[in-house]
Amino acid sequence: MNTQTDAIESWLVERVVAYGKVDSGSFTPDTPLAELGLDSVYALTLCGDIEDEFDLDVDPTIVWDHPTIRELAGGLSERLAAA
Amino acid sequence: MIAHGRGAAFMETSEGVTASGVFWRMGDWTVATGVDEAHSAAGSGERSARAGALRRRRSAGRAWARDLVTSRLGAVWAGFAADAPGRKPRLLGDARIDVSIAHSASTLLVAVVAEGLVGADVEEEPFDVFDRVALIRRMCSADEQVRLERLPRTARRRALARAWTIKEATLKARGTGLSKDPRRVPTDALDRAIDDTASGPERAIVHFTVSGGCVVSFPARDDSSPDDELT
Repeated sequence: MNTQTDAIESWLVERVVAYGKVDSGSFTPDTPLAELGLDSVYALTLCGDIEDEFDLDVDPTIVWDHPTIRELAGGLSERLAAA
Repeated sequence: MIAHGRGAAFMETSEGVTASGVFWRMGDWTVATGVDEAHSAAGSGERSARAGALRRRRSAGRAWARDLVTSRLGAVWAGFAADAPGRKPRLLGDARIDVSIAHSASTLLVAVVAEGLVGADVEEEPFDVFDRVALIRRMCSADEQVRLERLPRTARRRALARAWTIKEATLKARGTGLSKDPRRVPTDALDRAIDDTASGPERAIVHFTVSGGCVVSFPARDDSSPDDELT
């Protein structure tokens, strides 16, 4: 994993904790996002936060395509590299 | 009304039928399955407890759907088709029957209809996610954002929660979910402040009828879905 993916992963962990559904330390980057309370409304919120943070327009279905923080960080890293 | 009688902390399970013929059931799935959701996510084994709670919630939703299909629609139960991530469940058997399952915290809402397409959504209080600018920008059109600004600040959370449930239920009825942009689903829920005596979860059922109509209902809240039609 490269530095950028690491940074995105840390940022995603921070966002999930900020949404208040789970405590920090109670999950890993491989925990399914669905288990972290990321339902559709939070998935859309995360898309807005991704847009603000990375200037990247993503569709909420990215959460179904990349169902863990680790996979999502990898997917976002690839999109940023391609942008 | 089916009352579980476990005190005010637990929502009663209620049933009804909308004016357009959608049968629904809403209540606390943790009561239905005997799960204490708050306790299930605390302490050691938190991860497996969360996963177990999700499985029980899914089972409760599907059990309610089966019960509504057989007891209210009088149809033979043929089971669910294979899951598609991010899409609503599909039934095997009579292709005219449609079902939608929604949940928020411990509240579960299930809707079934004999004909047409149905979508349901529920959002539990305190609606704090609707304070987030990033969400408002992604769920509301530019025009809706202007109308939101006209509402008293204290009324915005619930108005946004109602708007969201309508948009989400519409996308679920269409079978697209969030693969389609909710900003393109218009709603008048932001045109005025909702009665400030309103409490409890925001919930909506959207029914696309076979005649081409679109009926929005608010189960157990508006006149089109009286509980006493079934009890």
